[in-house]
Amino acid sequence: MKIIKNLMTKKLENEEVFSKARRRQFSYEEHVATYMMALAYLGLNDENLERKKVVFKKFLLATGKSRLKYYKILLKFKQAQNNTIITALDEMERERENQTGDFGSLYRPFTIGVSSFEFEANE
Amino acid sequence: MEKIKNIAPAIRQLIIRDLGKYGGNSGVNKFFFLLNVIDSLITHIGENVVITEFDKEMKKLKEFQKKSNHSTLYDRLQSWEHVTRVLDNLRPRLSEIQFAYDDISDKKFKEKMSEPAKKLNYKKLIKKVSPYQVELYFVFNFLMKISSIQHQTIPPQAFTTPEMSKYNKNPFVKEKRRINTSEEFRDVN
Repeated sequence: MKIIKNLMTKKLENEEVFSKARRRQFSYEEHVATYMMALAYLGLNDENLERKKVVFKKFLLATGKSRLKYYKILLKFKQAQNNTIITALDEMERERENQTGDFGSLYRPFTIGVSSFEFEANE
Repeated sequence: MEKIKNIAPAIRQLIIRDLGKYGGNSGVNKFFFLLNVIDSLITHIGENVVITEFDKEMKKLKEFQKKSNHSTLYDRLQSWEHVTRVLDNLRPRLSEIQFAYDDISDKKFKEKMSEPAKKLNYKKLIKKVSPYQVELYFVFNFLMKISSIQHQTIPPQAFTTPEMSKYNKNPFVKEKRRINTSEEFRDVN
């Protein structure tokens, strides 16, 4: 699943960019997106999902100090979510190693046909 | 081995563009693009094929649950009907958010002076959709498994968005020094 790995890595990069710009809501949303993709890939269920939804909604609606309070609660969930993201990425890497060969992207601007074709052999 | 459905290059390119918008760091409603991808893939693959493959996937998850005693997503989404019901509820909300976003001309949310009513309306609408959408992500992942897009990579150009250009700068890459070509020509002459 090359494309999902690509999206997940991009989302993690976005999370870092937003956290540097002090955009807590955006950075946490990006983190949640990667976590949900990892969950969907592994097919596992999260029992605390309803609770998380409620806390996130309260975080969105709150202002000032109470917003920070809910953000701290959300950060407590973050460690367990990170673990699932890492396991999903490991699983994807294992899947890639088991494949015999993989075709690269055909898309490249200003090139047509065979010249843009890539063949990536596994190491 | 699972059957992988090949997807036409024109549709593939459209899907990759949408995924680029979803993966970009514009910080706005992105589920709209993900739902677009899901809809176009379902119509291209065929709903009957998708339903049969979905049932197989659910059986696999059920067996895994019995063996390992871990709770899987089988507990949440047992049938295709449940998934379609959730997606149908989500669709009008997301399109409403997208229309509200399109109405705003400057797309700068820190400046309160220009179009405050539209921006407030957009912010209100966004709070109604939570980021924990299990059904949406599972269907997306499952459709990627079936189709040939799983081997594709999204080009970096697709991630860039014209709005919020300051977030699009990559902090790990140094900016190249721009040379004014007109000055060079003057020196030669």
